[in-house]
Amino acid sequence: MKIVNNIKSSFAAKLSFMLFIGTFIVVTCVYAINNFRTRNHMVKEAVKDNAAMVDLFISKIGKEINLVEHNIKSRDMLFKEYYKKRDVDALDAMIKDVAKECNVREVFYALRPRGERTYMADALKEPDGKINVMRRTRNYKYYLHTYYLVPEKYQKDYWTAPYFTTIASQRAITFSHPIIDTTGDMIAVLGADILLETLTDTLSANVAKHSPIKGSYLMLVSKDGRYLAHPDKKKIANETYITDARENDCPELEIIVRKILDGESGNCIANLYGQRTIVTYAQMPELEWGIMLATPYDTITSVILEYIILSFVLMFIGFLIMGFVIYRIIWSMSKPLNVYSHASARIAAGDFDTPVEMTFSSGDELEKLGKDMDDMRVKLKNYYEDIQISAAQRESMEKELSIAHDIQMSMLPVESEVSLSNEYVKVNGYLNPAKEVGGDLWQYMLKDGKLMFIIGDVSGKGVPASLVMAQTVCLFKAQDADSSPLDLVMLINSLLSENNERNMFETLIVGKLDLSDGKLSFCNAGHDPMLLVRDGKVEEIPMNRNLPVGLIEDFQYRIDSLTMQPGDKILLYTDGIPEAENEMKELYSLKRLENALLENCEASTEGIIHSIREDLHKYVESAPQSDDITMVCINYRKMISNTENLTRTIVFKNQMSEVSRIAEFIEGIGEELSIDFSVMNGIQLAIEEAVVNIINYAYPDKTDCDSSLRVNFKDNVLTFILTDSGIPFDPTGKQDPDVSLDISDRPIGGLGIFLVKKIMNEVSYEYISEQNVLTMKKELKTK
Amino acid sequence: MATTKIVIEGNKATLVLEGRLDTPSAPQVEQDIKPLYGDGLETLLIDCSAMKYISSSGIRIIISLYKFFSKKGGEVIVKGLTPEVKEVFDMTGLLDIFKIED
Repeated sequence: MKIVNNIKSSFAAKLSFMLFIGTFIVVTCVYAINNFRTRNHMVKEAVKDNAAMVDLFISKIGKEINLVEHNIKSRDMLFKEYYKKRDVDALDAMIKDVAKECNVREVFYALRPRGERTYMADALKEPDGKINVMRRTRNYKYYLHTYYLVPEKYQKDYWTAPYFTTIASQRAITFSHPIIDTTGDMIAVLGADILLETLTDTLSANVAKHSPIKGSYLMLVSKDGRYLAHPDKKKIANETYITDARENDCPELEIIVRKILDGESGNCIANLYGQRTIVTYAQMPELEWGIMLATPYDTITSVILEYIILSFVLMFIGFLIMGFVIYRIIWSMSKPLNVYSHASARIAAGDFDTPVEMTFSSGDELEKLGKDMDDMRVKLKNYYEDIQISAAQRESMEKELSIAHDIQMSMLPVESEVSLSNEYVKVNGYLNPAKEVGGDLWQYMLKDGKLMFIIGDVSGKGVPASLVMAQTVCLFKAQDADSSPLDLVMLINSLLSENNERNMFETLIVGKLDLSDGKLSFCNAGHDPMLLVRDGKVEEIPMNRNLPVGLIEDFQYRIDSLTMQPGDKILLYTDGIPEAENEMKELYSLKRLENALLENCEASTEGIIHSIREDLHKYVESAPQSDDITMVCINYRKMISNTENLTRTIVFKNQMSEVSRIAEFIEGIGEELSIDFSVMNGIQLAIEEAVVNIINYAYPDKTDCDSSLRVNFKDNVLTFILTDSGIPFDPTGKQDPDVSLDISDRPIGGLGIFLVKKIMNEVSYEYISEQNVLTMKKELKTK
Repeated sequence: MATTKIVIEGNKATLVLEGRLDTPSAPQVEQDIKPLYGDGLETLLIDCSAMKYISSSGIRIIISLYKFFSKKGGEVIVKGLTPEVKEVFDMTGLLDIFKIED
């Protein structure tokens, strides 16, 4: 498994492995085809070789035989000469010579018997090479042997069939030559014995030695069908081919031998002794022997197989070595890839600082790849840094945008809180921006009994719209109670029109409601008209529509007015409400808004806003909000009576009896302004303390000195101004008594001024034109 | 104007204050309650349920009484404070000192 994994993960191993397998397959195929061809070729070669060898054997045996025949025959004349002379010694010497010259066992001559007389001499060659001439006894009846009888009878040379020699007990053949005299009678037979072994054994050895294919063997068959040479030595001279063929069930052998004995030659494939065998055969002309050279098929195949196995093993080893060498080469050449792989993993992990190692210079694509990779790393690094910087910039921009949103929203009244509610007027509003920073606005302020309000919608959305909106709200807030809505609209228009290259514009309604008489003056700059709810009816307030601000710098806007009666309500809204779309792209419409308002005309201002929101929500369902939605509801409740902005003054003497008169004076103001008893009680106490202070201490030596108390009520604040022309004294400078002290440690007095400070919201002292002026302010809580 | 009523039973006295105890009426009240500065009294109950108003001069009178009684180990109990008067008692730290009864 480890090796498989190695091969899978290593480029060099993979490539080498594939090369190894590929080459191995190709070479094996080529080799297999080649082997098949080789086998056929070898068979052909074997046949050819065998034929050549058979020819060689025939000629070799022929040569031996011819040598013997020639030597014997060439002594014919000489024999006759010596015979005539009856020179026995010369004859002996002659056969001795022949024996010396030829590879024979013995050379003999046998005279034609005359009556009882026989004569035969042998030159016998001993194994050590000595040649002894011996004479046969009379008992040896040579004239009865074929080697004598056949030449005598036919007067022709004769080769005997193989036989066992009596002397050497060896297989031999004999050549005999008849010596014929001039009368035509045979006088003697001159001959020689050749040991068969000298012919066949050398041949067999030759076959074993020289045949290219081991396992080939030689068979010789004599004219009479006996084996002269055979791998099974027992069969030699003992068995004929016929018995052999029949015993071993080789009918083809019998056929082949017959063909040979008939004088044919050639080759064939036959089944000999259970083996497919290539047989090359021929006949020896001199002796009419048959010669067969047999090569079993299997031996050829086994030779080839042996060859295949050997070369296959060698080839496999060679491939293994080659594979390893290729692996090492590829490994060393592809080493940069390994380095790059690590480098790219590092880069992928975010390490842009470590350079790609370039410790080699191969000058090829791999080196270029490394350089390119390092370039890429540097570029990535720069790019990454740029991205980080821009991400930080964007983050800070988003943060600033979010701050802008907070600032913008802080300029508008908070929706959830009851914006303004006193006994005279109640104002509620709702603003829901479609985008983070929107263009709708509304605001109100109450100044000197006048409610001023604004609602607007800046064209476009987002930051530009919000900036215009912020500017508008700031200008609105800077107004005072005396300014007219028309002035504000004109101011905003002129400021917005100036350098208005982006053509931003804004629709507005600016209004001012005088709470004392219900007089509403307002200026509409292209905004949707207000709706009035009066006596259970809803109507659109008729008004000049004018142009939105920001379009024409010197446009003359016109102001409208309406007198509101206590109980009247007005509803202001931006176009986000009537133009809100449901999923079917149908508008909510002004009609639906008027109906929703009518259904809830008796509800409170927050109730009306809540109901319209619900109705709008129900209509729109899940459709996305496309525009800012703003609405403001103002309920005029009650006129501020004239008395509520009053000023009263009382002048008093420095006599204690005046305290009661002042108390009555204060009580009167309390009744006039309908101030709570508990609040009035505190005020009574504070004023008494301040007045008593003057009466007791301002004029130590005189009586009948005047001091005055002026009371003013404005914006829910009661202001008391005590003025005396006595000795300068700042009561506010006096240290407060510590009321947490135990009573026994506390001085009995000094509580007066302390109580004044406790009760009043603001106490201040001034010494102006030789007069002590003590100003005390008390804020009254709205009911 | 304030009126006073004093009831003494053994060592226990009851002072009933009525009306407005303001600076002008304070000297008269001081005169009227002189019997309370006698020996033998240990407990003083001040009934304020009919007192509508008190100024610092009135507070001074009550503090004087308290000092006198507490010096000899006696006790001053204030009863029936109206919300307005109670507020003044609160501002001047008297609520923590007196034993207050409804």
